[in-house]
Amino acid sequence: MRIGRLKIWTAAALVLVWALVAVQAGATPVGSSMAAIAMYKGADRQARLEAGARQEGALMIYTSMDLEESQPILEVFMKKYPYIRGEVYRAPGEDVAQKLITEYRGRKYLADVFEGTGIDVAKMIKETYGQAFFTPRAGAYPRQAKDPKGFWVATRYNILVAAWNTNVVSDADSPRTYEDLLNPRWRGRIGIEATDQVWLGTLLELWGEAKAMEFFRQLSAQQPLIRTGHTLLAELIVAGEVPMSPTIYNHRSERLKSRRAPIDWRPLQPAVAIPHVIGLPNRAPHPHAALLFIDFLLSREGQQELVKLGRIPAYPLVNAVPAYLNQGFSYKVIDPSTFLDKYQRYDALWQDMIIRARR
Amino acid sequence: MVKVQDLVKVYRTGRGSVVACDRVSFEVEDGRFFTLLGPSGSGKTTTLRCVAGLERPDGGQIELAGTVVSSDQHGIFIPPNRRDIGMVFQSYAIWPHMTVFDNVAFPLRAGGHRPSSGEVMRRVSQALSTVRLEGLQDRPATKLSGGQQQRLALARALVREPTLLLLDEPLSNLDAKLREQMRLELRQLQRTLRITTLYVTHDQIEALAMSNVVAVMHEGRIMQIGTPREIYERPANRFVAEFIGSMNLIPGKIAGSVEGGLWRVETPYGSIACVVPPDGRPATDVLVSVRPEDIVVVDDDSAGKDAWDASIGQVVFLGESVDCRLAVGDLELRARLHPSFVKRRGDRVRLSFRADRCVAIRLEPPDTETA
Amino acid sequence: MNGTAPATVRVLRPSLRARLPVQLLLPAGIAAIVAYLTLLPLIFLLYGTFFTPTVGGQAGTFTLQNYLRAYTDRSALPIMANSFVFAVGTMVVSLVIGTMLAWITERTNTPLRGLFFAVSLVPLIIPGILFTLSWIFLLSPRIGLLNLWIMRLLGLSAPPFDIYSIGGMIWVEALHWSPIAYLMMSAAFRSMDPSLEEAALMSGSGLAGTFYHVTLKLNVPTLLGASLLLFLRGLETFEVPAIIGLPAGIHVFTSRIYLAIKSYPSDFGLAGSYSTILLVMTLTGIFLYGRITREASRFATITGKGFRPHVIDLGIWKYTMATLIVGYLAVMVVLPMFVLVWNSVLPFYQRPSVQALSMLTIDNYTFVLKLPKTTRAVINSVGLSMGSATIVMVMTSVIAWITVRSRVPGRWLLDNLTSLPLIFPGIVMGVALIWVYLTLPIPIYGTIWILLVAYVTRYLPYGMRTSSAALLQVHRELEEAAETSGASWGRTFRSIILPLLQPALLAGWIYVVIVSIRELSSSILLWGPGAEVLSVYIFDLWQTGHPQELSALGLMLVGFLLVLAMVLRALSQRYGVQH
Repeated sequence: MRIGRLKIWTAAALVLVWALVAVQAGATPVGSSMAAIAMYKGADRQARLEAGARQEGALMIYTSMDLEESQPILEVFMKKYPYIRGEVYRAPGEDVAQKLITEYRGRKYLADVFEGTGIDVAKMIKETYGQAFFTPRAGAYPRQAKDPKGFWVATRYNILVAAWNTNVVSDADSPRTYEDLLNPRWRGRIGIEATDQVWLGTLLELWGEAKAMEFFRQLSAQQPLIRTGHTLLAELIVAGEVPMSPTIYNHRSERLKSRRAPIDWRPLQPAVAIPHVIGLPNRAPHPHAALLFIDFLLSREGQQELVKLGRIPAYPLVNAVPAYLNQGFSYKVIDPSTFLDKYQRYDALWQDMIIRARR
Repeated sequence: MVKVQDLVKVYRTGRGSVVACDRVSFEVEDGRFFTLLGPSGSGKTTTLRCVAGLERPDGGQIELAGTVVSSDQHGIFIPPNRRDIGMVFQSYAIWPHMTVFDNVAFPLRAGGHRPSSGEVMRRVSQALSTVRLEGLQDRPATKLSGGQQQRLALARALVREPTLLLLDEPLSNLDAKLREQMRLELRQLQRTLRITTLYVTHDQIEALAMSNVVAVMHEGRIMQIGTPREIYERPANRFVAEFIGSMNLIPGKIAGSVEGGLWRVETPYGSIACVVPPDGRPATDVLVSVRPEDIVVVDDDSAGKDAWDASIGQVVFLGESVDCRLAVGDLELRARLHPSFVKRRGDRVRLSFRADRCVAIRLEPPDTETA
Repeated sequence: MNGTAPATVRVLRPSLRARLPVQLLLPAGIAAIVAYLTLLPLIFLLYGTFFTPTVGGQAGTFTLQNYLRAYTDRSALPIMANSFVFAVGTMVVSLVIGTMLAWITERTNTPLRGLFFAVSLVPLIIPGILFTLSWIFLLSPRIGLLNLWIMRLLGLSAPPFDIYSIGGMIWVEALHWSPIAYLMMSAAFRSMDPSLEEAALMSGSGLAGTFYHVTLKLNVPTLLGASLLLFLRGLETFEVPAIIGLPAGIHVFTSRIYLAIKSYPSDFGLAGSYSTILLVMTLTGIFLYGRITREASRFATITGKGFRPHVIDLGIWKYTMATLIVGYLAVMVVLPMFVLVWNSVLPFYQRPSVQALSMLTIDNYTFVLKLPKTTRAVINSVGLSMGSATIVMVMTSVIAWITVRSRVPGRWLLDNLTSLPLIFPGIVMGVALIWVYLTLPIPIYGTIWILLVAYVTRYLPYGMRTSSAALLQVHRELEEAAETSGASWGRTFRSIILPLLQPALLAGWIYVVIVSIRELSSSILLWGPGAEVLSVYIFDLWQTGHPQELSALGLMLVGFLLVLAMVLRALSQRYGVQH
C-alpha cells in the first residue's frame, strides 16, 4: 500500500496549493481606498464615479424589494448607465442580512449595495461590514431619514396602520386611536402579525415603559388572532376571517382597496414607520457603480420610480400616490440601531405578551 | 472433479455462532450424480453454496476440475462468476422482467467473451429443446407454469455447457406427479449430457432414485457416503438408519458369529441374525436395524425356531402394501407386507427377519459421531 | 486431473483486479462521497454549536450554554410533546391514506386506477403555502367554505371543523405528505406476487384479513421506511405549524430552531444544538429500522419463482370502491384545487358569489408570465430537480445494495451517513452549506452547483429509504442466479437489480423531482443571479403580497408536474415487469 499513501500525500499537497491560490483570487478594494472612493466630495465626483463604473461594468444589488419592483428600477438605472450590468439578489430582509454577513465572514465579497429594512442594514453595520459614504442627495432628506454617521439613507417607508374588512366592520366601529383597540368589542377579533416586534418596540420607546406595558397587557387580554405573514393577514382580512388588524402595511391595503376589495384602513397616530434604507458594504467589488446606484435611488428620479410602483418614498419632495399614504398624519420612524440593541428584550416581551397570550 | 476437503463454514448470529459445515469432505467424480441429502439445517445447502462460491468458507479447500477455487490456507477465493458452473435454485430465480429467451441467453451474454448473436440463438435453442421448452422463446418468463419455469432454470444453467451442474432442491416446489416425472427427466438428461452434478435435497426418494452417490448430512457433518443401495441397506449409524426410509431399531448385544458371515445379536425380545460392522465384537451394544419390508409375518410355525411371537396392532391398507404395527412385548415394530395380508388387530403371529438385510449399528453414546 | 499432490493442482492466484473486486472499491468510493456530502455540513454545524454568536465583528467564544439551553430547558417539554404528537399523527394519517390508495390502484381491478395515480400526487405538488391556504379557506371556523356548506346543509349552528387545532394541523400536513406513502407503497405493491394474497383469500381470510396479514406484513420494510420519513418530516416541517399552529397556540420544536436563527444576533449555535436533538431521534429511528428489517429474506416478495402479477378481482365491489375513491379524492384533492383555481382568477379572495363571478380575470396568469427571468428560473428548477433526482436514485440504489446485500464491514455506518441529512431543517442545511463552501476552496458558491449539492444532500435519505426497502423485497437468489451465470457485479446490477428496482426507483425519482422543485428553505440562501429557482419566485410572490398571482403560478406548476408524473408512470408500466 505504499503507492496508495504517496498518492494521498500528493493529492493533499495539490489541494493545499490550490487553496492558497484560490484565496488570493478575488481581491477587492479594502480599507482606506474604499473610504476614499465612498467619501469623496470633490466637484468632479460624478465624473470620477462614472469613469470608475465604466471600468467596473457590473453591479450586484442585495435587496428585500419585491422582484417586480427592483427590476423596473434597475432597468431605468441601466438605461441611464448602459455600461453597468446590474443583477439582483432578493430574499426576505433578514435572510439577505444573514447571507451578506455569512459571506463576509467567509471572506466572499459579492454585494455592492444592500437595500433593506433599517434593521437589516443595521445588522450589517453592527458587524462592522458597513462603509460610511457621502451622497449629495442626502442633504434633502430629514434627519430621521439618515444615519448620523453616514452609513445609510432611507429610501422608502412601510407604515403600519389599522385595516379592517368593510363587510364585517362598519366605519363607525373602526378604530381611530390605539386606545380603541382595547375596546371589549374587539375581543377575539384583532389580528396581529407574528413577527412585528418592531411595533411593540417603537410604541415602547414612544410611550415609555409604564404606559406601554399597561397597553400591551390589556391588548394581550383581548386574545389577539396571531397570523404569520403580512400577506396572509391581509388576505384573511379581505376574506373575512380576521375582522381587523393594527399591523398592516398601508401601501398593501391601498393596493387591495384599489382592486375594490372590501378593505379600508386608517393610521393610528402616531403610526409606526419602518424605513427601508440603502447601505454600502465595505468590501463592495464595484464601489463606483454602487455609489451611482445609491445616488440614483435617492434622487427625485429614483424616488418617482418607487412611487410609480405604489411605494411610499422617503424623499420629502416627492409625494406618494395617493398622497394620503404618508401625508396628513404623524408617524414615528424607528431607530434601527437602538432597536437592534434592545431586540432581545422586545422579543421576550413580544413572545410573552402577544404570542403566548392565554386564550 | 469436485474435491471438498475439510470444509468449514460458521455463521455468526446475534445469539452466538452456528457451525453450518463442520469439516465436510467428499469427492465427486466426473460425470457422476452426487447428492447431498439431509434434513433442514444439516448444512447441505451451505455446502452447495460454498462449492458455487456464493458463500465464503471459513476453512478447508474446494477444487473444481483440478483448479483450487477456494482455499483458506492459501488465501484463495474465486468468485462464482468466474467458476465454470451452472446452478438451479430452489426458487428457480427466473428473472421476471425478461423473456424466456433472454433468461437463457443471459449467461452467454454476460460472460467475458460474447458470442455472436447467431451463436447465441443456436445455443439457446439447443438448451431449450434439451429441456423441451422449444417454441416458448418470446414468452415473458412470468407466463410459464411451475414446471416450465423449472425447466427454464435448468436450460439457463446448462446453456454455457459448464463442467459442473449444481441444483438446490429444484423439485421441492412441484406437485407429486410432476416431481416424479421431473426426477426421471433430470436423471435422463444428466446421463445423456454426462455432466458432473451436485444435487441437494431433503427428499430421500429423490436421492435414492437419481443419484450415483449419496452423502447423508446432519448438523454440518457427513454421516455416510455411499451408493443409494449402500445407504439404504447398510446404514453406518443411527441417524442414517432412521433418516432413510422407516426403520425398526432393536437394541441388543452381539453374542457370537454364525454361518454366512452373519452374527447373532441377543435382544430382550429374542435373538436376531444380522450383519455387523467390521469391528464388531461380542458383547458390544448395538442397535439392529430392520426395514419394515424385511419382516416376514406368518401365523404358523413355518418361520423357524428363532421366530418371535408378536401380536398385531394397527393395520393400514395402502393399496400397494399393508402397513402393519406389531407388538413384541413392549417393543413396537413396523412391517410392510403384501397387500393380500388380511390379519386383524389382536391376532397373534410369528415374525422372522431376513438376516442378510438386517444391520447392526454401533450404539453411540450421546455425542460421538461415526463417519 | 485427479492428482492430489500440490504440484499437479493448478492454484490460480487471482490477479490484482480480482483481489480488489468492485465489491471493495465501490463501497469505499461511495462512502467517501456520502461522507463528504453529509458529514461536512454536520461537522461545521456541530463546530458552531460550541460558540456564542458572532456580534459586531467579535468572534464568538467557546461555550456549552447552547447545549444546556437545548437539553435542559423545561419549557421545551410541552413543545416537544406537541411536536411528537403532531409528527406521529401526520405519520399515521399519511400512511393510512397513502397505503389504502396504493393498494387500490396496484392490487385491485378498480376502474380508473391510472387517473387516481395522478390525482393522488397532487397534494405533494402544490406549494406548501398554497395548500395550507386552501385548507384555511375550506375549514376556517369563520369563513371556511366546507364549514359554511355543511352548516347550511345540515342546519347546524356551529361550524363542525376548526382548522386551528392540532387535528387541523395533522390533517393538512398528513394530506400534504400522503403522496410519499402512496409512492413508496405503490411501488412495493406493484412488485408483489399476488399468489401470496390469493393463498390467504382461498384459505378463507376476508379481504381485510388478507390485507392485514399478508399484504401489509410482507411490506414491512417499505412501511417502516415510509413511517420513518414521515415522522421525521413531521418533526422538521415549518409551514403548517407557523400558519395553522401558531394561531392555535400550538408551538412546535422547529419554531425554536427558526426563532434562534431569525433572532438578533442570529444564534446558529443554539439552532445547531436543537438540531442535535433531531439527530438523536433520527439515529434511533434508523437503528430500529435496521433491526426490524435485519432478516432481509423474510421480506422477499419479488422472487424468481416467476410470479404472474395480476390484480385481485373485486367483483361487484369494484364499483363501490371506485365511487368511494372518487368521493374521497374529491374531498381531499379536488376541493383544495378548486379553491386554488378560484383564487387564481380573482383580483382578491372572496367567497363564490354572483358578484365574484363578475370579477373573474386572467391578469394573475399574465403577471406571472411577465415576471423577469421566469424562463431561466423554470429551466434551472427543472434541470436541477431532474439532475438531483437522478443522482440521488443512482447513488442510493448502489448504497442500498451495499447496506442490504453485501457483507462489507461497517455498512451500517454508511446507512446512517446517508440518512444524516434528515436531521437538518432546510434552513440549517442552507447555512451549513454556505459555511462549508465559503471555507473550502471549491468555487461553487453562488452558482447553480451549490444548489445541486444542497438538493442531492437533502434528498439522499428519501432515495435511500425507497431504494433499500425496495431492495429488501428482491430475493437474493435473483442476483445469485446471475452470479452463477458468469455475470460480474456490474452486469448483475445493471441487468437484474436496476430493472427489478425500477418501480421503486421511479417512485423515488418522481418524489425527489417534486420536492426539489418546491425546496425553499435552503434555496433561499443559496440561489443567486444565474441560479434562480422557481421555489424562490413562489416564495417571493407570497412574501410581497401576491397570493392570487401565486395561485396562478402554483397551478401551472401542478399541471406541468402532473403531466410529467403520468408520462413516467406510463413508461414504467411499459418497460417494467410485464403484467
